[in-house]
Amino acid sequence: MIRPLLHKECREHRWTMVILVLLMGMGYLFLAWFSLLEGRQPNALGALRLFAIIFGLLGSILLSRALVTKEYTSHTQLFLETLPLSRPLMVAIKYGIGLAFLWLCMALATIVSVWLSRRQLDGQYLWITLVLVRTFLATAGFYSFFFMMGFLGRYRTPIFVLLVVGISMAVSHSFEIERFGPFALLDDTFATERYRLSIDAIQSTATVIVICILISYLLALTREGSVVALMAERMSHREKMFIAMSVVILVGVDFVYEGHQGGKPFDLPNAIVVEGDGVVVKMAAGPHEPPEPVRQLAKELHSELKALKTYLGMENAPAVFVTIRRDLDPHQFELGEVQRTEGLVVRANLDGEWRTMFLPWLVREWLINATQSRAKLEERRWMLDGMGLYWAFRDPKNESSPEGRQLKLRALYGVRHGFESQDLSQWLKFRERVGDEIACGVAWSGLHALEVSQGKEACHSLLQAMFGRAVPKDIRASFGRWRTPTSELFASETHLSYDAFFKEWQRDLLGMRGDLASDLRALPEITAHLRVLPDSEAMRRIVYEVKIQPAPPSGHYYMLYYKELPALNDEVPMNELHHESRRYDARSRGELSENYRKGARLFATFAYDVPQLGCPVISGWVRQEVP
Amino acid sequence: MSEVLSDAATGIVLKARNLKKRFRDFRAVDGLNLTVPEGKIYGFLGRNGAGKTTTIRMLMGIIESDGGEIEMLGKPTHRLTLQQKQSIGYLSQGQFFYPWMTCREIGNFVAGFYPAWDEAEFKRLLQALDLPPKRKISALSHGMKVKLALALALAHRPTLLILDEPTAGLDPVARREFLEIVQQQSRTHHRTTFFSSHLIDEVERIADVVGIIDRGQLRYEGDIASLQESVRRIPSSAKNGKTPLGDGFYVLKEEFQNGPSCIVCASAEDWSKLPADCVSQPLSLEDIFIALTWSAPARL
Repeated sequence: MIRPLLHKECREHRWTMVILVLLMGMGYLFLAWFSLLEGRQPNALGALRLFAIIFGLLGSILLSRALVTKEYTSHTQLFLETLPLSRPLMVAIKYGIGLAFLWLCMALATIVSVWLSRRQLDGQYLWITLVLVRTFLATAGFYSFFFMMGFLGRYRTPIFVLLVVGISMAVSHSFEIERFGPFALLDDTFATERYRLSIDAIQSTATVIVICILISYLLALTREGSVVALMAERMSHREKMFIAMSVVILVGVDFVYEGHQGGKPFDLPNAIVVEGDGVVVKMAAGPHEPPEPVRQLAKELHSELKALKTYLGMENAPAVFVTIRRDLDPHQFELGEVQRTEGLVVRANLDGEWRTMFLPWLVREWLINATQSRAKLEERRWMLDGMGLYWAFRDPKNESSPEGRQLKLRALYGVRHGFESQDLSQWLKFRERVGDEIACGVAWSGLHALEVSQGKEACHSLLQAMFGRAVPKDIRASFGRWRTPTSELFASETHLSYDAFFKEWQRDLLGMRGDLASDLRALPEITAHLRVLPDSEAMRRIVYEVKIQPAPPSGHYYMLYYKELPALNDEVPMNELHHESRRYDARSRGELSENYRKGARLFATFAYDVPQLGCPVISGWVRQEVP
Repeated sequence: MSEVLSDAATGIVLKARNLKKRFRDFRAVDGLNLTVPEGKIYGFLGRNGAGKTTTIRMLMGIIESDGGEIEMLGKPTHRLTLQQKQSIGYLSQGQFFYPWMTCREIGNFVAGFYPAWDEAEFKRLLQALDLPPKRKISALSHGMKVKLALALALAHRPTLLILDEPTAGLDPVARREFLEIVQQQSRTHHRTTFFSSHLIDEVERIADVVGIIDRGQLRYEGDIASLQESVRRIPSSAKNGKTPLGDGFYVLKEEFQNGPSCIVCASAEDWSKLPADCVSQPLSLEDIFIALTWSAPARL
């Protein structure tokens, strides 16, 4: 009894399934390419996550339409009902066949993803099991929902549209759909979480599945299925009008509500505004702050950014909103989120010499914003890191200043244990090895070497190509970059191959070392060693030993930065880290304030401020799994 | 099916008592009783909207009744069991086959649901009904689809064949052909056949027993000869629904064409008491059906 119906469903919907398999195959390849080659996901499981969301939804929509809705709209269910076949079994087979097909596709995608991520997964079966459970359960959630919708016949599309409109509105009012049901299972921890599975996500997804199946059965069996048959009839003109009106009213209500909620773009009230030539700087300070120095600062900042815009040939420049906050550390700059406008919101103390610290940082963030984060791509990241300092110290007079000397020392300090050409393509690893400020110094030296070797014009041309050209805000930008890799772009703009440039860079660094060798030798180095000790069956404590050589005078402090990471997460913003300041003595041993569960990933480093460099040096970031 | 599924004691295959179905305020079936004897062809006659299809759909368990009892193949049933369904051949009013299947493919599909499916019989029926096995259903005419439905309903050798207005939309030749097959199948295999129609001539042609339904109620159930004996025309005018003939004679319909006359219903015994000067005329089934379903309902 089951076999003929299974056979019928497979034959009837074979083309839908073939098309889905083709779409899914192409989709997976694209997502894997887009996610991995573009570096947008930590591993191939990230591509699987996107695949499960996109094709879990698409597959569920198409299959439920084919298996359920079509049966009722073409009235063939009347024929099925005359056969010796129970309705519950008929519904179960339809549900089972669609879900089995989707699970098969998801299983194949999971196998490929696991194979692509085999190095990271490295036989961690718990991780693979979690990925499978999350994928399968989320797919079942999506499918169950659309399977239920299939029984709603002519009302399924309007209900779906209303639902999508409603959810979009809710999301725009800070409703987080990724925290519910199948979306929670496919959240951004999907590719990295190896030990934990959110019970809430499982419960909510299981609830969605059970409710949807129950409603499906209720609809299919109520009044011997006549309710579903009636709903499968074509929609009347009156119904169409009613639904269109409902959507319009819903959107209208949201529009009015949105207006009520203050849909104005972000602005700084009572700010000093300096604008002109396409650059806007708004600066606000506390009520007790004298306005004139703030105005002067805003003017200077505007002048710098205007010059940079012209230098890079940028068409548009993001506005800059600065709030002066005296409670912040002078070297601490915070970036805020802007709503309904493009631009940067910055909070900073700005007490002291802002050009050497704040300006390089602002230039970097400004370029990231202006390029829609494309400047952050790892293969070209060193140029972004160098650009801030390069711009702030562009006046040749600055080179011989104490700050210029500090810069050179930073560069030399960063490469003291070696600097390979692959450090450029793996710049984020290099940054974690030497620290942000030192890495920026090294990057600055690269642009400096290019200027010395090929002249200012070549350097200008390269920076314009990297940061100044308008790039489409869509997939075309990726295709463009794929066609012209960074090394080719570099060679065409500077007339120097990437390899030859790296040699020039090494030569330039050697030249700097000649002048500063003795200073460099005197700089302290910080090293640290972490050890994991069992605290209980599941918990671990971390002890460490830190050593600074040459040892600083007693009473000096070092900093400790740490955080528990989701696995394989890339950049971690500094403001998300725990940091502690501890006194250094001859036997600097200690223990982290937090204990960690077995399997947690620890991200930690030790830092020590070196006045000669004008920045801290670090022991190197450690990403370590707690055994 | 070799198993005896009729009521062996009474020879009744299908029985319905006080069957009811209401669609909002409309009583589609209103206390209907019917009894289908084993091995007979039962013609279920009624006007459009009389409740024939609703009754059949309730009997088949496609829709649920609001009340009453059904005894199908010897067993009281609220909803048909799979075994009961496997013993019934059903041809619905509309044919909603999968258009992408061929005649052979739909046979293979349906065969999976019937353990007693006779493939040779199905092939024979396809041939006899002139249905090309490899032709897609989407390319079949309405008449061919009905024939296919009949082949599907007969190929598993059902104990009971239920046909819901099977000849609607067929041309006269196809209708005749169809009825002959049904009759031949019934006679050859001693198969009980219950078929609904609003076409009197086809019921008259093949039915052994007739049930006349009007406004959801059964007006008559029995053989056609008894019906024709009970209902006759007399040339007389009626007064207050009665003839001057006395009690026992009920006027079903008055006619004024060719002089006043009444269609009167009475038992055989009463008819035998008819005065010698009074002439009664026999009626066709069509005349009786019209009289029974013409105006205010009358139960015989």
